[in-house]
Amino acid sequence: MELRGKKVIALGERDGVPGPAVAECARRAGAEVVLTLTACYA
Amino acid sequence: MPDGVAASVLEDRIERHGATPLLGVDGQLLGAVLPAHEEDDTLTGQVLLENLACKATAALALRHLLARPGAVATEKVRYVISCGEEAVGDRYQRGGGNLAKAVAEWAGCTRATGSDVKAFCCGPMHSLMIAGALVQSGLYDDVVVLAGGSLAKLGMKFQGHVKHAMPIVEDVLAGFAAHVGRDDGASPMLRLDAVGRHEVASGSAPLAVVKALYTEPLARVGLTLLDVDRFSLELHNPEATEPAGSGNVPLNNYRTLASLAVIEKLIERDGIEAFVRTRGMPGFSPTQGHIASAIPYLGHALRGLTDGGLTRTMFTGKGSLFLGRMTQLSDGVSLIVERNPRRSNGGRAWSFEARR
Repeated sequence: MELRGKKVIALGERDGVPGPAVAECARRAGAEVVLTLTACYA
Repeated sequence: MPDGVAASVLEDRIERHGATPLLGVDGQLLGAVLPAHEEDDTLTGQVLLENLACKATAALALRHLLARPGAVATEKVRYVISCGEEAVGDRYQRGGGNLAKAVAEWAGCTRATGSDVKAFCCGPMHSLMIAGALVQSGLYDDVVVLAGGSLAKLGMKFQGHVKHAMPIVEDVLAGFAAHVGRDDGASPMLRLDAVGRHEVASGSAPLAVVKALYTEPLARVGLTLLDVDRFSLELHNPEATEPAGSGNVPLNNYRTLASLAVIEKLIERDGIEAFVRTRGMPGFSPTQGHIASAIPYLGHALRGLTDGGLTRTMFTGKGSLFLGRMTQLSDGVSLIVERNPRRSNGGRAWSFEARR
């Protein structure tokens, strides 16, 4: 998936991949992260 | 028991005074909790009921602790740390209050004072660490860490249970209490020289988190993951979480931990399942956040470290700080509890010592 130039909502999970980690990956792929959230499903 | 109140009076208080109704399973009106203030959202009947449930279950746990053979004398308890998740206060300091001393009062600990420690599900680990430090410093000889249950989390994942036509299994208000005292030569030791911390700069990547909570503290005292007989993590009962789509939380976290052992070349990749089986355990705790967070194994660990075959156990709690919207960070603290090197017969269950 080409993320460059796209806006991204980074939704992560605490015990999996947290939101900030997802956001960092998206940023490095050229996306603009507009919202970062982490959920706690436990 | 005092006389009851007529249903008509209860209905009046619900309708005119905003009291929170208490209904039986058949829908019958059993009682009502009045708000303590007309305009204070932190003193509604619902909030007071949640705080009261937390206080009652914590006090019950403390009284059980104090009633055990060989337990610390009630009057010797000098400090109580409550790490329940309820926020006691009023509109001018929402959550700024203190449940610990209220629980100590109910349990008859007349010489105790105390305070609350808040860190979401990580609260119990922070509290045990602080309790150990208070004892090690010599400030107090006997500290109790406790928590009551969360009324708000009863039936938290009920939709998944209803969807799968199974009973709503989150029907338990749990509590715990643990005594931290000076070294008695028999009780297991809390290793304050090997506390694991998820620091602000630790990052949120899964590998960074597990390294901060396991590799770094163990290495600090010359140990590896293989020197720990049993790890206690989030111990949510998967019977409650899997139907709700949350998966088997303990199993997933044990596999992550085993993966760290592979990365550190302590085990081979095909040894992951054996690592999980021998150093982990099935989740068995009610899904009450802080209650399920490593602490349910403490009593079992103390037995294993005194009368059983365990040498060293490790407890790790993680807290979802981001839920409060003040940060994107999570939190974590890990603690090592190990056999007393001077272990003799007669170790006291449900109490353990801070290493001096």
